[in-house]
Order: sequence, then C-alpha cells, then structure tokens
Amino acid sequence: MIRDTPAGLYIHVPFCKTICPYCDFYSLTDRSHVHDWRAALRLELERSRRRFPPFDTVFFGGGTPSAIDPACLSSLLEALFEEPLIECTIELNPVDVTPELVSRYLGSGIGRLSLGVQSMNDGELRFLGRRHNAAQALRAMDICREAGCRNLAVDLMFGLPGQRTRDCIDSLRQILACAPEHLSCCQLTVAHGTPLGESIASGRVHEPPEDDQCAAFLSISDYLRNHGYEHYEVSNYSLGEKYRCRHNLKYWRHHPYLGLGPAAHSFLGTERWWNIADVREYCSRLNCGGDAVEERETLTAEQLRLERLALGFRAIDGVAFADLAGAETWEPCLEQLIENGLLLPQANRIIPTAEGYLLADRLALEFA
Amino acid sequence: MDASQGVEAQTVANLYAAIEHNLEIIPVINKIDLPSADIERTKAEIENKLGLDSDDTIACSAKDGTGVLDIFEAIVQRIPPPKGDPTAPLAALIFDAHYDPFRGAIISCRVMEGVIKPGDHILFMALESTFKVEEVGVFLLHRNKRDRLAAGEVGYLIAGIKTVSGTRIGDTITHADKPVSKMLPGFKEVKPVVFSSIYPMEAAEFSALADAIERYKLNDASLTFQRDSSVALGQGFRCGFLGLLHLEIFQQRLEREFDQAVVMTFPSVEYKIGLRDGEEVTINNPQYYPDQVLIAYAKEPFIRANIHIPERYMGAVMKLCLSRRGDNSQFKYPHPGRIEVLFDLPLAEVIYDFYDTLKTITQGYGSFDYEIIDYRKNDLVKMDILVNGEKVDALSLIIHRGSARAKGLQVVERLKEEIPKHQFKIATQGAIGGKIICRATVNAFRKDVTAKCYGGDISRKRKLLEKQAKGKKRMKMVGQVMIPQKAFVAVLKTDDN
Repeated sequence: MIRDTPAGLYIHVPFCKTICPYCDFYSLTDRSHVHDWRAALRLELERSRRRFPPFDTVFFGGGTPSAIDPACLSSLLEALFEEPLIECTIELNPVDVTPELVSRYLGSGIGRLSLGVQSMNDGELRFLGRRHNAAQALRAMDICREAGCRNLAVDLMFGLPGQRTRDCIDSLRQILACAPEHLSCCQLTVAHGTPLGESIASGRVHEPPEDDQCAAFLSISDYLRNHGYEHYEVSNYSLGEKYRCRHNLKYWRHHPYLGLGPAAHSFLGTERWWNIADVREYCSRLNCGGDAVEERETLTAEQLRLERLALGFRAIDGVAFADLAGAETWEPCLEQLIENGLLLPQANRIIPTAEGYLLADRLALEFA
Repeated sequence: MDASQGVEAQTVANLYAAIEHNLEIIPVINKIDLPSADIERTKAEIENKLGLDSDDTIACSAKDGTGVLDIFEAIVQRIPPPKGDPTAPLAALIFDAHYDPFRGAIISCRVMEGVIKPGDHILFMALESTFKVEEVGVFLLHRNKRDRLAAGEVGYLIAGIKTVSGTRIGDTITHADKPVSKMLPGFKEVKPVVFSSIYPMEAAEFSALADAIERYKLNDASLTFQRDSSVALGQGFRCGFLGLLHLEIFQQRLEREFDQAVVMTFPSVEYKIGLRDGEEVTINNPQYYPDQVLIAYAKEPFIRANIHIPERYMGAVMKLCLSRRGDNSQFKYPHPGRIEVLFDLPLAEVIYDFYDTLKTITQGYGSFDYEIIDYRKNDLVKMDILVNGEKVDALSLIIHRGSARAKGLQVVERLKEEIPKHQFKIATQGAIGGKIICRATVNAFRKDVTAKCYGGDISRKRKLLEKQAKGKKRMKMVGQVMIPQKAFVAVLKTDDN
C-alpha cells in the first residue's frame, strides 16, 4: 500500500534576510520567533509522527534555512535519530555558505545541499534581487565540494525577461564545472501579488514570448541530457536515478509526507492538510496543546486519479494506463498525442517526452 | 410630442400608422413644465415634419396638470364616437389573450357591433369553437367586472377557455345562435416565417427547457415548435416565429423570465425545393436540405417592403435594398420631404438585421413594413461549417450562392476567435457540397505547465483541474476540438454590419 511506504518529513523555515521580488512562499525577515518556532516544531513532530510510517527523507525548505543558526536544526534531527533516513536535504543561500556551516550540516547528517544559485549572470542576479554574484556562487559550490559534500543540488532559473537561451546555457555550463548531482531548472513564474507580478501587470517588465520559453526549455533539456543528466521531472534533472531527489518524488508518487511549520503541507493516504501561514499563530496554537492546521481535505478516488494525472505527466514515471479512462474520447486522444510525440507508451504506463512535459497540465485535462 | 425633444422618429412612424387607419389626430405637446421646453419650435416641427396644422395643437404638462382638461375636451369634441349598433348581431374583435392560472384565457376584445353578457353562448368564427361567457369587464389597471360590453367598448371576457392556443388574435366573436354573417375585416391567418432550432446550453437541461417552452406557449399562441436534434448540440426544438422580433423576444424572455440559457441556430425562412423526380418539398431546416444533385430548383419567399423615409435618406436606403438583392423598386410621394420606397426583397435578407440597419442609416426616422408576396427561384446552396474537417451541423445554413463566401468568412473568423487554443492547429472552414470556400486557423499552443509542483501546490492544482474538467463537460466536442457553448452563441448571433 502506498500509505505504508516510507514517509518524507518537510520542515518549513520561513526566515529570510531579504525577500526576493518573485517569491510566493511564506517567509519573513523578522527572526525574533526562531526560538519559539523551533520549540513548536518539536511539539508538532511528536504529536503527528505516530500516524505516519517511518521517515526516510528529511527536507529543510523555506524561506532560507541557511539563514538561521544550525543549532536550531540539530535538536530536530536528534529527535529523528531512530528513523531510517537515506536522504536529508537543506536549501542554502550561496551568500551564507562557509566551510564551517557546511561542515556543521554534513556533520549532523544533512548530506544533500541545495544551493539557490539561480543564475551565473550578475545582471540577472540583480534583476532577481539576489544578494550574491556569480563569483560567490562558484565559490559556494567549491566550498561544498571541499567540505566533502557528495550530493550537491543547484537551482537555476530561466525565462527571465530579456534573457536569451544561450545566456541560460552559459550559466549551466559554468555550473556543470563542479558536476552537481542534481539540477533544478525552473522557469521564472510570475505570481500575482508579488513585486515582480506588479511589474509585469503594469507593463514595466515583459514576459518572454511563448515560443522563446519553449525553445529555452527544450534547449536546456537537450543540453543537460547530452551531459549525462536524466530529465526526470519538468524542472528537475539528476545524474542518473540514484541522485533523483527522493523527498520530492514522494510528492509526485502520492507517498506519505508530513510538513512541519507554518504553511507546511502534509499528505497521508487520502488525506491532505496544511498549516496556517503565520509563525506567531503557529507557535501559539501548538503551545496551547492543539495543531496549527488551516484546512483539511479527504480525497475521493476520482480526486486522487485527477492528482495522479496532474502529477504523472510531469515526471518520468508517467501515468498508469488504467488512470487515463476518464473523458469520452480518451482513446483517439491518446493515439493522437503519441503520434504527435508528446507521450510514449511503456509497459502499462504512459510516459511524457520533453515536449510532453511542456504540455503537462493540458495533458492532464485531456484525460480528466 | 415631448416639448423638449420635439418631433422624433417614433412620432412620425406612429402618425403614419394612425393616418393609415383613418384616425382623427390631435397633436399634443407634453412636458411644457421642463426648462428646456420649446413649444414654438415643436409647433414649427409639427407643421414642417408632420404636415399637421399647429393651430390644432394642445400644449400640456401631465406632471402638473396644465392643459389636461383641454385635451379631454378635444377628445370629446374632435374624436368621433365609436360606430356600432348595439342591436345588431354581435361582432367583437379579439386583439389579445393572456393566461391566468385560475381563470384560464383572458380575452381582450373590442366590441364592434352588438352586446355581450355573462351567460351568452359565443362562437369564435375562425376556430369554429363555442364557449359560454363567465364574465365580461373593462381594464382599469386591473380587471373590472361589468354586466355587459356594448358596441364601441373595449374590455375582456372570460369563458372557461383552457389555453391561449384555443384563441386566435384577430378572430371574430359572435353569438352561437345569432352569428354575424361576415367576419370582421383585418383577420389574417398568421403563419410562422422565421425558423430556428433552440438547444439548452447543457444537454442535461433539456427537460427544463421543454417545460419552459410549454409554459411560454401558454401566453403566445403564435409560437410553433417541434422536437429537433443536432449532433453538435443534442436534443432541442425547431421553433417557428412570426418574424425576427418575435424570435428575439422569445429568446430574451426565455432567458429572463424562465431562466433558460439557450443556443439558437441561424434563423431560417421556409424554402420550396423542387427535386428532379418532380416532387416539391418545403424545407426550413438546413439539416434536411436535400443533396445538391437531387435539386432541380430552389425557391425562396419574397416580400414587398414598404419603407417610409425623409427624402434625404433616399440614397442610403436604395443602396441598402439593392445590396439585399432588392428588385422592382417603386416610389411614392405622400408628402413633400417624405418618400415611400417600395421594393421586392428576399425574406431571407430581411430577417437578420434589415430593420436595425434601416433605422441606423435613417437616424431613426425610417419605418418599415412588409408583406409576403410570392416564392421565386434563386441560386440557393447549403453551406456547412467544418471544424478540423468535422461538420458542425448546428451551424449549417441555407444561403444565396453569391453571399455564401462573405457570410462563411464571417462565421469561420468568429469561430476562430471563440475556439480556445489546443495543442494542435484547428482549421475552421466553410464548405458548399464538398468544396471549401473559406477558412480561418486557430494556432496551437505549445506550453501549458507550471514550473514547480511540490507539496503545497498539489491541492490547488487539482482544484483547478477539477474546475477545468467540469468546464470541459459543458464544452461541445467536435472531433478532438473542445468548443465552448458561448462560441455557438457568439457565432449564431445576428451579424453586425
């Protein structure tokens, strides 16, 4: 049963030194609540973990996990010492990377470091409101390797206004110099309500045309595959199956995961729930003996199927043949999509190609 | 007339209608209380534009009562009393009928001759049906019972008539045992001339629509309908209307009063098609249009249009009528400055937007009336609309060959705008027989994906997918192409010139 497969543990660290103009996650620059938050996390973990199978992955995301004292994380990790952990990830801002910090992380069992590099072009980094430059990013990657990190993940953004595909490939080329085991290449997404969203809405900044976006995506996919990476999810690449992010795979495979902290999401079997997006409220509710859940949903079989469609066409596992029979004309539709090179049949599953990834949401709708 | 607006288009139109019926005219200038009122200018317009003697004019303000008594006096003095002999055999003209759930049909009538009382046995002459009068009365805001209605009076009667379809507007009511010898003049058998199929927006709503149409018909005896169906739009009804206005009112009332969102096909007139085997068939539904190879000739209904306009719009009106395949023009000059233009026109050219266009080009002053005169042979074809090679039956239309390409282009362009992008190109085409005569293309999109999808994104993503899947069910699938209902509505709306 999927429900009994090992679970993932996600910890949301909402604290940042500065907020990036494109960021849509819950985060704040006020760090006065770190201590309370840490204590509340322990409470939440103890109260929730019983429902879950053993955890084999941990992921510290945010926010900027590297912006807080690593000691805050150790106590949580200690509480997990009995879990069969095989992957433990933390997201870092390149500006925060020092040999000491990296050693602390590696020493406490956090073996997978994910660097938010985003670009190796200083102009682009400024546009993105980042506090580092390309040189610092390179230095950060070196420090990680020098400290003994053997599972390095780097984040890159493309589709920036005015960016040409070759600028993007150029950033990649520089990053590949230290052969990271994993790459996340995400198209810059404009979220409504963010400063970037306002800029686009007001016409100050223009999104690149759709054809350019497609060209950039496919070029990156080609480039990375030619360099030994597997394009295993829309925005994720790894040096072979071994280095795929096991934690994230749980999201896409409907495996169980528990999210701790404000705004964190959890899933178990047919139940999904998420916490309120406010650190003070989060702490006070947990201190009062309750939980910090904002909303819960219990999913029907059909809703779970729709999720499998929405997630399946985004990743290398694809969708089970049995899940496709929804819409009336699904068979001729499937034939046409295979003919158009968007999908590949493989045993009893249908796998998206890179062009298929580009249309993942549309594909899900075709079979919804 | 409004003292501040002066003579307006509808003033002229109403005046001509009154004159045609030999009615006595009393010009009244109302709203003289307004600061912008200009009585002298309005009087000048009455002389110049209407050709009436401004000395006969009465100025009043209905708001404050000034001049109202003068009007009453004028009515008594100048308007002749109704003619009609109360001792003669009963002859009453039905001019309206409404349905009351408690009393049945309420018949509005004008008693021309004789007297009608509760207890009388009456005969409806055109329908040859008899009833017993339960009640008569007059309308004074609400129904007001009376013990009789006599020649010259206008009122209502109730006679246990179950449905409005049991009455005919224009019919003559007389006594069953002492019938009048001749029916009152002006009775015209009204037949539907414009046809359109109507479908519910969502197939599941068909029975609600069927119900609504039945209830609508209670108060509209002239609506005809029968079951119809379309591959694209499912189960529906083929309806017959007295004209385009009748159709538009029907659609609007269905939406507003009966809460039915519907799609209606292109309105069509009734054609007579002569087949090669000698048979002549009557077709008003493009779906039943015979194969071109079987057709020997096609005939369409023609009207004689009667258009009243101020002289200065002559050129524009000529142009309009000629552009609509008008023929056999004639001109009359009823009054200096005004022209009466007569034209033979195909009814099909008139049912779309002829009236609106006429009003636009004459700035409201043009008036239009017509009469169906005959059927004439013409080069007619059936045009089909295809989406990625599949025929969308609801969009087919019967059209004059010369107008086909222009109309087809309009339809395929509109359809192109309304069909959302898919992951493949979509061709919208107009075809006659198998031959494509026009085309538009909807480009494909190549990208529809969000960059990130982690734990926090899944619920939202699924909810969006649920919503889209529901929306998809309301779309009509034509082959692999999803067409929203609003596309049909947009395309089938009467075109804007």
